[in-house]
Amino acid sequence: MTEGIGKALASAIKDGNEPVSGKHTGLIFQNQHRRDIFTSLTLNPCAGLSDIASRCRISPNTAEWHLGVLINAGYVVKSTAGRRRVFFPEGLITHEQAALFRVINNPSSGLLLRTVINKPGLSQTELAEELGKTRQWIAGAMTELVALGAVSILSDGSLQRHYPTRLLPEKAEDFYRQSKDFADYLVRKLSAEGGKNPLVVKRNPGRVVIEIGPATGRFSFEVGVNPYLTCLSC
Amino acid sequence: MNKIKSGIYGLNSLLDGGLNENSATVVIGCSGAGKTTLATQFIRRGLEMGQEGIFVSLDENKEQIIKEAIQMGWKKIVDYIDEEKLVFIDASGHEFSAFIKRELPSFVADWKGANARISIDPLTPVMWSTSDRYEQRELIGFMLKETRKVGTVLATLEEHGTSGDLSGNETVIPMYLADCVIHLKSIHTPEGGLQRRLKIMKCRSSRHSKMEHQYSIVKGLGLVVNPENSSLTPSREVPDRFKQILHEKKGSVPARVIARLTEVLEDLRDDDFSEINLETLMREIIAEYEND
Repeated sequence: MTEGIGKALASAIKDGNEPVSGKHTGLIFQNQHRRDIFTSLTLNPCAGLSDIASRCRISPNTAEWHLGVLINAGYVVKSTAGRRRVFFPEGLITHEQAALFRVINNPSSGLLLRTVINKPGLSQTELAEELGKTRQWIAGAMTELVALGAVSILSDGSLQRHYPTRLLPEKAEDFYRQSKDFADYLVRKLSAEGGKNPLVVKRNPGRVVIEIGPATGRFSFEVGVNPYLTCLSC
Repeated sequence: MNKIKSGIYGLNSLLDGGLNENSATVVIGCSGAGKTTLATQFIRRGLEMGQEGIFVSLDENKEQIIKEAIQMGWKKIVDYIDEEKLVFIDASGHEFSAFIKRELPSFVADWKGANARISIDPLTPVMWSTSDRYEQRELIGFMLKETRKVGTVLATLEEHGTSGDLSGNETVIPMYLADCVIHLKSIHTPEGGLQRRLKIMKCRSSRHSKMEHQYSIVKGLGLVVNPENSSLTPSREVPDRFKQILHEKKGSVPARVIARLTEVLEDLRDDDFSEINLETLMREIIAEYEND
C-alpha cells in the first residue's frame, strides 16, 4: 500500500478543474504546489523526490504527482543519480552540468559541501563532530567533492584540513549568460501557452520574478536562474 | 476473489464474507436511510486495518460529516485526519466529472494497487453533471473501472421518486455498472412506525443473500443489519445429492462432462440451487449431449 493517495487525489481533483493547458498563460503554474516545486528545482537542481517534498512541505506522493505534470508539460527533466531519481528544470542546466549538481545537491555530499563553505579549514574529525556523523561517513562523502574539484585538502602538520575551492564562484560567474538565457527561455515558454504575456517584474543575479496568469487574476512566480549562487549563499 | 470486511455489523455474512476487494459497490437509499453512515463505517473499517481512506463528499461539507461521525461514536476520526490516513474531499458534481474526464487515468497510473478505500457520497451529482444518458453511462462506467484499480469503492446514490422504484436513470445506470448493489429502504408500518430494510440486489462474483433484512441505525454502532433468514447457507446437501444423480446417470453423459461437473460441484452450496429442480437439470444435461 502506498501512502498519501488521499492528498494526491484532492490535489488532482482541484487540478482537474483548472482550465486546460494551452488556453491560458502560465496555467501549469496556477497550482501553488507546482510553483513551489519548480522554484525549488531552479534553486537546487538535481534534487531527489524526498528533498523536494520536504522543501515544499508536501508529501512525497503529492510531489511526485505534480512532478509528473511538470515533466509532461516540458518544464522538468527526470534523470538518475545511481539509484536515485533526480529532477531539474528544462533549459536551466545542461546534462553535463547536471552531473555536478547531482553531487552538490545530494543529501550527503551537499550537506558536507555547505559545511566546508561555511566553516572552511575543519579537519575530518571536526567535520564529523560538526555534523554528528562518523569519520567514515565524512570520508565517503568527501571523495566525490574532492574528485569534482569543489573541495581541496591541505595538510596542516598532522591534520588535513578541508577548504572550498574557487570552482563554484567561478562557475557562478560563468553562468550569468546562461541565467539570462534561461529567464528568456522560460518567459517564451510561458508565453507560448497563450493568454496575457508573462512579464519579468524583478531581476537580480540569482532570481527573477515573473508575473503570469490570465488578465483577471495575475500572480507572481519567483524562480532561481543561477543554481551555483544558491549553493554559495547557503 | 478476496473478501474485505465491510465494517457494517451483520452485512458480511449476507455477502458470503464481505465485499469483494477492488470492487465497486453502490448503496441506494432515500434521504435518512443511512447511506452516509454506511459509507463512513466502510471507510472506518479500512482505516482500522491500515488502509487509507478517502471520502469524496459531493453534497455535505466535511465538517458536517465529521460531526455526525463523532456523534455516532467515532471519536478517533479526527486522529486519522490529522495523520492524513483519512482525507476528506469536498467537490461539486461538475468538479468531480471534470476530474474523471481529464485527470483520472494519470492519477490511476500513479496509484494503481494502492489498496485504499474510497467513498463517494453521493454519486448522484456526477450523474446530473450531464443530461445525456450515453455520456452518463460512459462517465460512470469509466470512473468505476478506473477507481477499482486503486482500491475498493463504495458510492451512495439518492433514491428519488416513489420509494422502491429504482427505474430512474440516475439509479439504473450505476446499478447496472456496479459490481454490488445494496438497497436501503424505509417502510412505514400500519401502526405508524418505520421499518428499515436492506436488500442486496446483486453482487458479482459472490454469493449473497437474496432476502430483505431488517436494519437499524444505532448510536455508536452505525448501521446494524439483522442477518437472520439469510438465503445463504453453508450446507451442501443439494450438490452432494446432484453428484449422486450424476453418478447414477453416468452412462447417458460423456465421461468428460461428468468429470467436469463433479469438480464444479465441489465449490457449490445449497443456495446455488435455490430455484433449480435437480431431476429437471439432469434431464437437460442428458439432452444437451444426446448426439455427441
